[in-house]
Amino acid sequence: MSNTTLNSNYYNILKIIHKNGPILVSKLVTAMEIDRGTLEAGIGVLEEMQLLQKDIELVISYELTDRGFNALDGLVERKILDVLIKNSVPFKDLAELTHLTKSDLTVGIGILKKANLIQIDKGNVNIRDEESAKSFSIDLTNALAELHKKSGLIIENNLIEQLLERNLIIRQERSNVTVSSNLSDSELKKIIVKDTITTLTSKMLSDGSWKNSDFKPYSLKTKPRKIYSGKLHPYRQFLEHLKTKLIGIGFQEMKGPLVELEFWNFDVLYAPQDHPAREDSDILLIKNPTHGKLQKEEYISNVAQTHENGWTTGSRGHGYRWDPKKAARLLVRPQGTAISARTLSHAKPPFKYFANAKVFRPDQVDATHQIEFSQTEGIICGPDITFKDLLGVLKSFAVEVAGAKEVRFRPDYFPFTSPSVELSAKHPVLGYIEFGGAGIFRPEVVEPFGIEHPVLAWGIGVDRLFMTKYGINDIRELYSQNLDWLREGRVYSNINLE
Amino acid sequence: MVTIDVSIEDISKLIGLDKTLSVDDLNDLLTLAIAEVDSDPVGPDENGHTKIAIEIKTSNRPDFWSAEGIARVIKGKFGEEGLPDLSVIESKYEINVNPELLTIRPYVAAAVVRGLTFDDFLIKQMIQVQDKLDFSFGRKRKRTSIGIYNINMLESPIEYTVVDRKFKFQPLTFDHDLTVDEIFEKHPKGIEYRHILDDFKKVPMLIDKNGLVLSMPPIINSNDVGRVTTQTTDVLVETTGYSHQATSQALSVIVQTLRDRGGIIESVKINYPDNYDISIDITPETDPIRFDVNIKDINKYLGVNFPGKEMVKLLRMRRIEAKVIKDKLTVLLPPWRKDIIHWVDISEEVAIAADYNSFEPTPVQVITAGKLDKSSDDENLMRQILIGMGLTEVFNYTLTSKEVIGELMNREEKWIDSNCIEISNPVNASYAILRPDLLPLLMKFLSVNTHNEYPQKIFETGECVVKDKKKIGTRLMMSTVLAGSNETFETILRILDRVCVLLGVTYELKNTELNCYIPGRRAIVIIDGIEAGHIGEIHPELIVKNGIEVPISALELDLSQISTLNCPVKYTNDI
Repeated sequence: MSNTTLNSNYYNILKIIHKNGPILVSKLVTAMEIDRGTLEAGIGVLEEMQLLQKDIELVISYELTDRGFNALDGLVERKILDVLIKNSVPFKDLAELTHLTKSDLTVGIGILKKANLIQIDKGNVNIRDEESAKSFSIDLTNALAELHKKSGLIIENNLIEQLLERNLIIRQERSNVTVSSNLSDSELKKIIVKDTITTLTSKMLSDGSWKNSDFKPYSLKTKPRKIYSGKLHPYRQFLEHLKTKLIGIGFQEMKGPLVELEFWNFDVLYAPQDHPAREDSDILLIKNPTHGKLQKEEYISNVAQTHENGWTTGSRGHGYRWDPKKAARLLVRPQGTAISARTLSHAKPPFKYFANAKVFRPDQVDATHQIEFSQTEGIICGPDITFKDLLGVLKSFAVEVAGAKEVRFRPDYFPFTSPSVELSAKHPVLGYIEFGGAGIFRPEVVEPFGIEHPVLAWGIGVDRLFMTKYGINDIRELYSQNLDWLREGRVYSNINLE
Repeated sequence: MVTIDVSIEDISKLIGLDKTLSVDDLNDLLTLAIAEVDSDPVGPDENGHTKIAIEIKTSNRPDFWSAEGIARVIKGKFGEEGLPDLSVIESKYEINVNPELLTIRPYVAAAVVRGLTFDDFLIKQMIQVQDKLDFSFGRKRKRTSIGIYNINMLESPIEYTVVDRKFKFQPLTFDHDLTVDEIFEKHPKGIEYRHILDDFKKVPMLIDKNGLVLSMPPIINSNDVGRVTTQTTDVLVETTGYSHQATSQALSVIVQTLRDRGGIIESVKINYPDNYDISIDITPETDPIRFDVNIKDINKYLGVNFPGKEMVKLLRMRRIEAKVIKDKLTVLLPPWRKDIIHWVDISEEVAIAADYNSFEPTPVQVITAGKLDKSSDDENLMRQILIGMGLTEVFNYTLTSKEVIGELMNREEKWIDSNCIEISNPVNASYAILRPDLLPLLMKFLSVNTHNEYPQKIFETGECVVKDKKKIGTRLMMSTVLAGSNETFETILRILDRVCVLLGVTYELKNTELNCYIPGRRAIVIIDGIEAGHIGEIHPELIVKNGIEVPISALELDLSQISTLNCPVKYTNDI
């Protein structure tokens, strides 16, 4: 104790507390004409130095709500009873006679029926028990009035509960903080008062005056005010991390338009023109214009012949007459593979491409379905690439991208690949989760563009990965409009699941 | 994708197992049918059936859309290999086709199946196969549809003919005769499927020698011969459609499921008239489809080195017959395997039989340099600049409502018509238009966050779609809004000014009439001489309309118009 040093502000606070004995902080604010923030910071420091003691008492009070104020001249059931006590009244006239709104009237009638005080007979409302009716709810009305006056009268618990339940009052909690000195008079006298530096200034630095002062200590327990830093959206950040991983293993990004021709989305990908996925109910179509233009390129006729008879691809074809008008129809891109299809028309092997694409499907929106979601997918082409390479690519995605150690493959189906694979990766907690799909583009897809090597095509369910990492169960939260979540959520440096 | 309901006990029995499969074991075996378990099991019920849903992922393997078909391929793993039984006995039944059908619903295929013993469960399974084939394979009955009749009531020849719309018969579930027109008006199936026949004055009808009506394909069966019950043992199965191949494929798929239930199959002779390019057709098809493939091609494609004999063994497990002839395989497929159109499809069968998990994955050997698209680099640059100024990034849907784009931004219908891409078949009004810019979405964002602490400083960069000069372009845009009691034209201009300094461009502001902003506090942004966006203080009327109670200043830039960025418009018609 003997060496305790305080600056004059803190010392003054301590002195007043010491002099006045236990005192409420709120009274201290008035007494010292000091702002509450400074006072509380001082008390915090003094408490930490064990120079004073802080006692907190919880005070509960009840305040009237707007409804409560309106009920001061009588609760709804009282107003109804006061009318009915004179004589029975047709139900339809009751609103006018009581000056109550329809909803208040319904509430009041409900209360009275429950209490068995009234009956409705042939459209007339009667009192059943006049004696009880006279006194009904009076205690509640009185209790409300007492609370309004803040008379301090003790009110029965069950009345408080009823008032709370009927939203006439709200409960408020307040803490009364009392502080008292821990020191004897002599101990107080021994404290050395020395002014300290609050803010270091340029002047102190240049004239060296800082050398003769102490720095005012900050309480290590006080939380600072919040700053909202600039912050990237967590899902977009996640996608950037994913892109970084893909670039790391040699993929180049591709992009494409959101409004797409059926040609790139379906015909190039060898979906026959009467394929169910091409029906109006499975895609989102454009109002105006409904159709785009097909370029006059050689590959258009190659694609057409491949559909009709297999062209020179070694395929037997779909065996129908291909309609260029259908291929020119516009739609909002339902799959990212449309971008791969466009890339095939100009890419020179060997190549590795990826795209992160927003795609659109006419689904009913719920926790697992969205009209709009993201797909990350890509293509790989090289001279001697094989099905085993495809499995290798998928495995490396699971390991590199998601940090999974074990993978599992199942046969899958896409109209544009053969063979087709589904990839599951083992999550340390959740077990195997479906991670993506892939396959080797059919020769009918790539050969119309003069590509003679196999092209591997793959896709990763990025939305699902993100939800797994962030513990999100509802896919709609990817597009969360909750600013608080965007500001407060933690950030990650990678996308690994572990 | 097709989902069917099966009984685990029934499918185990069809596979020929002594005991009932566990759900996990069933799911493992379903890889052979490119399918998986899609529900929790329910049961067993009083008939000993534990029901479970199975999702089949292939849209081109209708033979997998039944318990029988799935069991058929799984059996290949348990020793029943090679082609399934395709044998057919000749029946005395014939169908004569009317020449007028060529332009209406030209093709018919049929078979007689005898010796069936159906309980309610099996009738439901049969109806399920029929429904899935009609709906998915048959494109909601337009391409093909199936009819099944009690053959003991019928006499050959059966006429596949046309009648006018006054023709009357008693359709299924009705107790009196209706004309064709009445069926189109009143019968639920008539209402559902009439569009397939609406264009024709005459409609197809199947009528037996004695004038008994079988059905009006593809709409509705008659109420007597067209009703199959647990008493029925012998049936006529027919399919009609506009494609000869699809019609006979649908028939062979359903006939094979009935064979798997113990049915004996008999053929039916179809007599086509002179105006057709076929004259006589014996159905169902019994000849396997032949395919010749190079063993070397398959090995190279899969990255393996299977000897021919090994491939034969694997293909036989897939219920395919194969023979090695020198360096080639001659492959014989069941007649319904129209999905196999290229030798790569044979290689897929080999791979599935060998089990994907038995292949050693090889590391990627294609060496290439990875990089982002330039527009992504530049978009990220913009995001970094804005983050550096303390803004929070938000991420909105690209599809939104006309109200958000139009009314809540004081934009007229005419402006929307000439600039925006609307969806002609939206699922609901909240997702009915592609956003032409980002500011409306940010306003919407502010409107649902009025309870959060101000100031709210947010931005978004992202793709928008704009119609211009009859071209549809996907453009990368950036918008920033500042909402709070101290936000003004000046505070947002500071952001534009900073962005331009960091991007090395110069900007000037030009007066504008844009009515989302307060007059005198609004401008078009010209960057290096090119109009690139707008800036201003949001009009109080709009702030109130959006349910917000603080001043808002806003900026929107089209990144494709900034010369030092490389974010070109992606046109739908460009390559």
